[in-house]
Amino acid sequence: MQHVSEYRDEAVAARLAQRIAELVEPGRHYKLMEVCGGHTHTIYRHGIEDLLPVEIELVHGPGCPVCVIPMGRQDDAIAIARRPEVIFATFGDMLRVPGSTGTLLEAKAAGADVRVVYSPLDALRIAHENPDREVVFFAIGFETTAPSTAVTLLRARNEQVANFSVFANHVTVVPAMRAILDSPNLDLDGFIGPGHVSTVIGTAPYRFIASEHGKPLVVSGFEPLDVLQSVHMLMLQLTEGRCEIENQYARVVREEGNPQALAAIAETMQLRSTFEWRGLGFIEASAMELRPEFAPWDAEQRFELAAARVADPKACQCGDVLKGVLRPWECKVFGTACTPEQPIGTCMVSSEGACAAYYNYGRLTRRRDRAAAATTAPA
Amino acid sequence: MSDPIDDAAAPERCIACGDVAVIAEIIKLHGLTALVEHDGRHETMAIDLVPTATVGDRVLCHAGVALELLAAPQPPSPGVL
Repeated sequence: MQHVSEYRDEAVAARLAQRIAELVEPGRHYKLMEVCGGHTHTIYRHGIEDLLPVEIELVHGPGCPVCVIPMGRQDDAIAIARRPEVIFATFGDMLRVPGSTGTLLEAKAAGADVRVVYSPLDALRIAHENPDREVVFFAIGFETTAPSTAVTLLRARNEQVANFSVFANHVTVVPAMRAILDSPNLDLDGFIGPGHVSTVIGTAPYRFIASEHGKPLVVSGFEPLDVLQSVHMLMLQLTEGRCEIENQYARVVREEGNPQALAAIAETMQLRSTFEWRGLGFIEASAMELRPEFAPWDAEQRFELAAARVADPKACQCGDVLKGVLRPWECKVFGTACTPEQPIGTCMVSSEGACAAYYNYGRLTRRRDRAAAATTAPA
Repeated sequence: MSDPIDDAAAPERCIACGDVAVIAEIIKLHGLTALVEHDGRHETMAIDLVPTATVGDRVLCHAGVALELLAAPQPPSPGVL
């Protein structure tokens, strides 16, 4: 596959890994956060950690939109879906996200008309095909997914589709990174920065990370060589005492982002004053709602919602996993009470969630590590 | 790296996550809708956000929308390391 196979070359990966190892300063520990769940997925799936020296630790960040959705918003989504007049259109990833009274999948099994779509434009088509029903799209995701919601809203307005609305839960990545940087126990040396989000927003929004917080960031693609090259670029910066925002993913990301996508988002959505993130709490100006001009297509205006704050289950430690405080296997219910088939927490739902990625790929490596440690441990 | 893993055998990726956006080639255009090909599969994409895109261009696609035109691939190679 073009644009894929050339980024999975094992010989180049080995050479990159060697170059990275040569940059390690003896006695120093390096802690790098990959912001995106997609990077986490790549790291576990392709065994990137196995290639890195033990002195380099990769920490998983909050960049999985399914993982950060708070339980109260999921409850509101399920409440909309249960209304008899509603066709509730959602990405399939949200079906198994637990709310306090169950999941969308359970609501569907109980009779709710929940339909999986690949695009919000599919939901708009369903609205055209079902003029006597209310079609609601569950909009979720970072700045990569928000443009498709924006394009759909603009088309809904142009086509005057009266039976279509959006339940907006789009979040923005920079405020979450700022919250992590402002946390008192921050112990990071640098960031593997968002790839496709940066396609939309560009690289300029990250400049404060270098200028105000003194941390380097490398915008990275999602193939194994992309991630390894980004680690190499970060290690070069740390070795040379530089602190810059660099772009490893230049084949897709421009410094200015995509102005058309930003304009579409700005025309249809605006920042909320605050929004709750699972694990990170309320973060100011970190999510988007529909502009007043789009009130006719705003599900929050069309339906009465509880908008309650609901605490996570006590057993769930997704919050600490999302902040990089806990590694997935350190959660007390990981792989036992909480599995991809029966998730308790959101990090186990999405394949880009740290726990699901680790469960699917990484735990086998760790099992090998433990076995090796046991055989070499002194009697 | 670990042994190569078959993409088709991998767990289903999460559409809500923009990280799973794919690169596809435009093979036909009709107004603001493009027919694109990705890994042998055909899909329609809205090209509202890449209005200069033409047939033969490669675009980054996510959730039914083309997000960006692609530059030429620049993989790291042993020669440049």
